[in-house]
Amino acid sequence: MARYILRRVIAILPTLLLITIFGFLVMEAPAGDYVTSYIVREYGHGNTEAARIEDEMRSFFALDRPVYERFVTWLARFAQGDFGDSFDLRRPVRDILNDRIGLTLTISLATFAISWGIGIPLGVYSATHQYSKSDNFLTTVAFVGLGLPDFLLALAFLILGWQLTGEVLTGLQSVEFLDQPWSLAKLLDLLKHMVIPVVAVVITGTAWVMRVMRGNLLDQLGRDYIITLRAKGVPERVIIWKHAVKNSLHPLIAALGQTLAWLINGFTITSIVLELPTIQTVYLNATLQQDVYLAGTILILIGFLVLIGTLVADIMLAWMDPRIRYE
Amino acid sequence: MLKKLTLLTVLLIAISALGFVSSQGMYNEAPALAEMVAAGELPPVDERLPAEPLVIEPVEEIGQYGGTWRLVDNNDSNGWTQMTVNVEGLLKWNRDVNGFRPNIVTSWEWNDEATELTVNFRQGIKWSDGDPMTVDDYLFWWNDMVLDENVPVNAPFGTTVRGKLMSVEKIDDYTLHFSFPHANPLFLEYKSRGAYHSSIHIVPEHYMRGFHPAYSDAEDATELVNRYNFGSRMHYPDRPTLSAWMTVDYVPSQRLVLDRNPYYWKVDTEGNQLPYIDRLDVEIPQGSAAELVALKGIAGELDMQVRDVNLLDVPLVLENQEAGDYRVIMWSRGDYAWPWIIPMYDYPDEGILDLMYMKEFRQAMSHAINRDRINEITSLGLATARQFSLSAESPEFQTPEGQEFYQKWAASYASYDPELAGSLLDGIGVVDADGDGWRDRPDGTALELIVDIPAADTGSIDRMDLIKEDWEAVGLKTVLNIIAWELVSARHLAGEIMIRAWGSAAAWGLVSAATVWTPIEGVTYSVGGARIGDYYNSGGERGVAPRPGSMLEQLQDAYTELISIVDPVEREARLLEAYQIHIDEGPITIGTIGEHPSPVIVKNNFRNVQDFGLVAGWDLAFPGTADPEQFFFDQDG
Repeated sequence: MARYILRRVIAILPTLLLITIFGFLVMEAPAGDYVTSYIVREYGHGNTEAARIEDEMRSFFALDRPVYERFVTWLARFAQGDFGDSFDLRRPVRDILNDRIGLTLTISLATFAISWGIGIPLGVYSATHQYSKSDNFLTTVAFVGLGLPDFLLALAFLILGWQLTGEVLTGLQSVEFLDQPWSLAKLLDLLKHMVIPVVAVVITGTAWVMRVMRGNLLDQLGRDYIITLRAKGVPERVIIWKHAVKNSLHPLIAALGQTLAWLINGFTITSIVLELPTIQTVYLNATLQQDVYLAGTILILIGFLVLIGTLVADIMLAWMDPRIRYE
Repeated sequence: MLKKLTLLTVLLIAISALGFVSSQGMYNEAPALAEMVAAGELPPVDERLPAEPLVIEPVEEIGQYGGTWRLVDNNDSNGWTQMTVNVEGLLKWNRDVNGFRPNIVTSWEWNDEATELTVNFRQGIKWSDGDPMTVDDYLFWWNDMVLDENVPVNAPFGTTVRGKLMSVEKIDDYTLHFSFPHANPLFLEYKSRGAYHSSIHIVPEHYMRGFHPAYSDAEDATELVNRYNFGSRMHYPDRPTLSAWMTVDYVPSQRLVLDRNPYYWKVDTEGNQLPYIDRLDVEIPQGSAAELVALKGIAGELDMQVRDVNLLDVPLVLENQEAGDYRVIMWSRGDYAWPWIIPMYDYPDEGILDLMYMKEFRQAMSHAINRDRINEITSLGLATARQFSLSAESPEFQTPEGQEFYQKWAASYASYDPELAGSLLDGIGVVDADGDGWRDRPDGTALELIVDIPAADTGSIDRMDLIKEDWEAVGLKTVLNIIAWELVSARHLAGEIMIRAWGSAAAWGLVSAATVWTPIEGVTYSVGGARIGDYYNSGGERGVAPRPGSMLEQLQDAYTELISIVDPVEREARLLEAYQIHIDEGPITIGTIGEHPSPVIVKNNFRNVQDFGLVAGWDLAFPGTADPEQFFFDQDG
């Protein structure tokens, strides 16, 4: 097992490198670069002679260097913890991510914890009460939750919230608290703003967890070993929670691998419609503007989290299910 | 002299009216500033103002000090905010944009050939940190930024004439002398548009020096240029400004806060130092601003919002006026079309070019469009169906002859007449040769019109969908290529586009974006294609030449002649003659519907906002041109 983990950890590095190279190339693929879009934007403002300094700008941002050279230089700096500067925001990428990672994780962890915390018990309940009125009700709700995109729910909640409170709860903080040190009032304000995105994303998230849990548990409940357990007179509670549920968690555990990356990469559209200052919104804009170092750093981060997540999920599966062995 | 007398009278009235406060000085100031003066933190207002501050006449009444103006910008470049606060050029548009008025510059003198210009700056203006502004602040920009090869700042439009740079000489602290290699009579006007030109060229030398590689230990010009460039100059709270409000806090991609500049150099007619409003609180959206604006607007959380109020949201915005305690002032976009359809005369397909250069072909495309239907479906019938005939508010159209000419141009080839379109196409041999239901090129090969539209411009996409139906109804097969704006631009500059649909835009004769009607610049909004404009601008070194004797060449020649005419009356008359080419040989760019109203959300207690405004053109810089420093919150009612 230890050797297996070590091998997987070592494999992460080359995989990450491949992801990075590929990501960098993808961003180089469209016509033009950051300077092109900068110049077009300057035209828009009225600086119609901006193209005169096209070459100067390109050497200013080192965009006149060949792509492999820029990539290697950036990667060397990256290894030392310097992720480069965002062309567009004119700030170090590290600062931009630092500003946002805290709030991003707050939202996504809260969402994750709540949707799994509610979804699993509801799924179990649904499965053990199959075709009862409450199961039918939960199933209907879950299908609605799965069918409705979270950003649409978020917009509806935004309007509802405004009609109830008279306040437009976009963003994660009232403007007066931005740039202020943390205080109780600021925390309460954050919680108030978190309600809409968290609830919207939780509804779709819970629905999914619940459906997966219900399906798998039903599958397990029909197995021979459950009948054996029942025949032995094991209490139903123990049968379900100790044996059946444990065995139904596999697909959810496997999904954990994706969840880690989802923490900084999920609910992008919701983030945008609700004006959330999260990493998702920066990532989208950076990609559109070919802001390569910013987008590249986030891509590596996502790639890294996917790899770590998959590894953790594999280890957990092996730990939970003695049949799975890696040799 | 007359102005001095008026000012004196006003001051006398102010002094007598205000009793002992005024007996200590000539001018009044905001209470917060008066406290700072009393505490010794700030010099008295009379010392902060120039000897002759610029007197601004309020739109409705003398205002009251105080309040925070909440608004939404569109991104971290803070373009909307800059068009509000940074419209402080050498001159400034009149509030009705019919000509210019003195601003930083008080007077100027041209020689007869319009090659030598002497400009007098207003004496005693101070930067927001109290440092005096002189012509050195302009010269630093020109000598140490534009002309310094280590600093990536370009020589802007108007500072070069036919490829040669102007030269600038300092006469004294408040006088500059400009010399141009050829006549350049519109120099001051070019330089005074919007929040861009001279509004950003006058830089605080004492501050900028600290970031210049030649004068400080800065390794390169990065920090200097960040403090200069349009996209980032608002992000530095320590950067001195000449504007009415100065940045005090910037939270990237979230919020920008500006407080009054205690050294602002304008007063109202009663000698109260402007601005009236204490603070601007600007929200920076993460994505598109339109939803945020609609929601915050109807909730009454925006005090005045000029841009990003969707026309289709007008019913919603009007419905909630009372609940949100605001009013809606209908400004105009001042746009001549949305979209305007630019056939490219540099497309690498000679067969297509042959058609594009044929006026009958373009006339057929224009007559096939049902503009009234587009107006009803996409603009609530609030726009005007018309030809591409520039903005109705352009100064050259304000005379009776101008009006008459404008009407003629706006109506040309704009009627919906699919039969005429069909017969025009038949006449030039664009007929269905192979019987597949689509018209083919005169040589019998297939014809397909490909229109590029940026994905973000949903207004143009909706309308082009209808135009595609119209064109296909007369047998012209049409493909809409909807792709990312960056890609459209890159394709456009490379000459890979056949037809481009552009969003809402305004343009102004010779001063503002002349290249939309005469191909003289290598930019994406140039008539006929960027490379046609670049050919002219580079003197034939780059780009693609228009076909000899074609209407594009005629337009370029007309422009060359126009910009050196010194007499404004003659220039305007000749300008209409040049426009006539668009009627005789037109349409060259195809217009659709324009003059869209632009709803502005204004809280009921937010006063001194004029009824006129044009928001499509960056060059016109509304609301800055409407003098936001005299906007105020009525705190009594």
